[in-house]
Amino acid sequence: MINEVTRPGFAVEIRARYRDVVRDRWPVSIDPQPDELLSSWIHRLAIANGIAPRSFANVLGLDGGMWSTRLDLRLPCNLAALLGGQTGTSPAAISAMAMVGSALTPLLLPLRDSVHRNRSTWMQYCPLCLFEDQAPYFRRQWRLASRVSCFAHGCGLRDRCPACRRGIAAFDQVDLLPQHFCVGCGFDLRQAPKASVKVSARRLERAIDDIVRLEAAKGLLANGDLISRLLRAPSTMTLTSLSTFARIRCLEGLAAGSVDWLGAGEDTTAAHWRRLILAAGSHARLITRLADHMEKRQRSTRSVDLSSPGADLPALLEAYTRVMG
Amino acid sequence: MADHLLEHVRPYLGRSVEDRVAYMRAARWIGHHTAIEAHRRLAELVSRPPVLRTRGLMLVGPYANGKTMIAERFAVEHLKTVEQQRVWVVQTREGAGLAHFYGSILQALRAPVGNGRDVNRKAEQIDHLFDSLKPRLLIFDEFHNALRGRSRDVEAVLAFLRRIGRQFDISPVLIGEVAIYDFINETSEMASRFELVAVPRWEYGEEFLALLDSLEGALPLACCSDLSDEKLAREIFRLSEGLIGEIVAIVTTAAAAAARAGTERITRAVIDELDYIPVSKRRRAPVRDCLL
Repeated sequence: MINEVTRPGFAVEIRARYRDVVRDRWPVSIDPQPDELLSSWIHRLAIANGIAPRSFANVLGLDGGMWSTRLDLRLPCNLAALLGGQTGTSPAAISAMAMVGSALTPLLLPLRDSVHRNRSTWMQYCPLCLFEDQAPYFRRQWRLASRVSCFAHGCGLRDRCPACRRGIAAFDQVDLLPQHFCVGCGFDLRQAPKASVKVSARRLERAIDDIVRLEAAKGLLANGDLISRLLRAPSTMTLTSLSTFARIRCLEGLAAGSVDWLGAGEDTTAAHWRRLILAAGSHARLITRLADHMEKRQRSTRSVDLSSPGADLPALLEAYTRVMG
Repeated sequence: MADHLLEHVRPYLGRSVEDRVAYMRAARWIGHHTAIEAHRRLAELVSRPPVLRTRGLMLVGPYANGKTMIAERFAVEHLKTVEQQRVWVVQTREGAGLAHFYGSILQALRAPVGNGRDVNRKAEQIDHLFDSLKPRLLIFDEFHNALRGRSRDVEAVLAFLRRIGRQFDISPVLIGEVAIYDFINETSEMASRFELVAVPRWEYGEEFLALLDSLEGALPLACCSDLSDEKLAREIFRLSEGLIGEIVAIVTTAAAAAARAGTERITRAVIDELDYIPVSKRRRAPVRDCLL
């Protein structure tokens, strides 16, 4: 107050700390692709953040081996929360990628790593789908034993690397390589030769897929016998222990034979639907046929009505007196 | 009565003593000339076009002189204004060697840690992340920590800085003490890539008095203390030895004492009561005799 000199003052503010403001998530997040399997997404997430899939198991606190494929079948809440919090993907989206508690679980290929070429491995793939992907990923559909061909490309699925005959082992990758490279020998799986499947077998496979989904949606799978029939379909072993090649041959054989093996000897509505779908070729085709049929019927009944307009009232009154009297 | 206070500080006069003391103690940003100039240089570095030869900055000055304050404020402002983060602040770890250095960078990027021990894997991860994130500026706080150790470790760290500049076009900003200035200027290769932004000690002058006035305006005391009065200012300058961290500490402690005592102004007596010993004189202070 003695010196009335006015000086230009400095700005003085309470400051926010950098560590409070900076985002606390992992640096790179990736979006799940359509129908992507959880373990495939986790592997892609690991590589995007610069960590090899095998080392990423330590990040999630899991041991080695088939750590990510086990998560597909059983996802603990804390891991789902960790993944959701660190990536910004919603926990619902993460759970949707897993196959936890699905009614189709008995049809899943077992988590086995057998050397025999005619035994199954845990994952199949379509080389053309991998080729067309911008970021190659594995679909949930490919884990089902009832699937042997790709619906988009019409070629057969493969379950082993053509060069070294090992199954898919993306969880064991120690380099920062995408999933379309075989872990054992480095072969680019997108270059695998196309497997061929007969049209009749593909039609049968589509029908079976529709039947299975229909009964799963209705909740009939657990009590019904559809799954056991499917698993027993090959004469030698259960469906889930056969390699893709063997299952393709099995389906081709079934398509050549009678169609009754799925609904034989049963009179339930479910069995009836199965026969209908098998006859039509797919659920969509059956519904289209039914819709066409109903539309034709509607048109014909309407034309009948228009021809006799006024016969109703006296007949109605007569019927009324008869009833009341 | 509250004319000496800034606009946003006046409401605090009505609060309780403890609230006001807590407000006084909060960390502050002070926009003095050196800080504003440093921000201008940093902003220039963020918005520069891509070049082949790295250009970096050294923010060097004595301890407790507000270097971290300048860097953090710049990073926070950057985060608020842009969508894609381009500036990261790395807290350099105290261990020597590349493993610790990489570890501090990965922690700054908030990256998941896969294998704790393998240096090659960490280097691979850092390269991969820099490729995806494309940072423009990496601010290394306390960088003199990385310069401790064998000379080949230090050489490796400096070679890493040159490489990320060349490969990913990242400008490093090194914050710390004068040891950084010495190391960088040892070879002309590094010296030609880094420019100096000095954060020197304050001298007694108009700017110092302006600083005291601004500080006074930010502390919610009911009465005007007139800190830029010659006697008070000289005493504060003597005790703080020109370091802004010390200046702020002295003034806020005195203000807290005044608020608690009820006098509501900082006078020479209040400051004397603090018994504040300047940092350079603490080694042989008389109070040490009582500790024996």
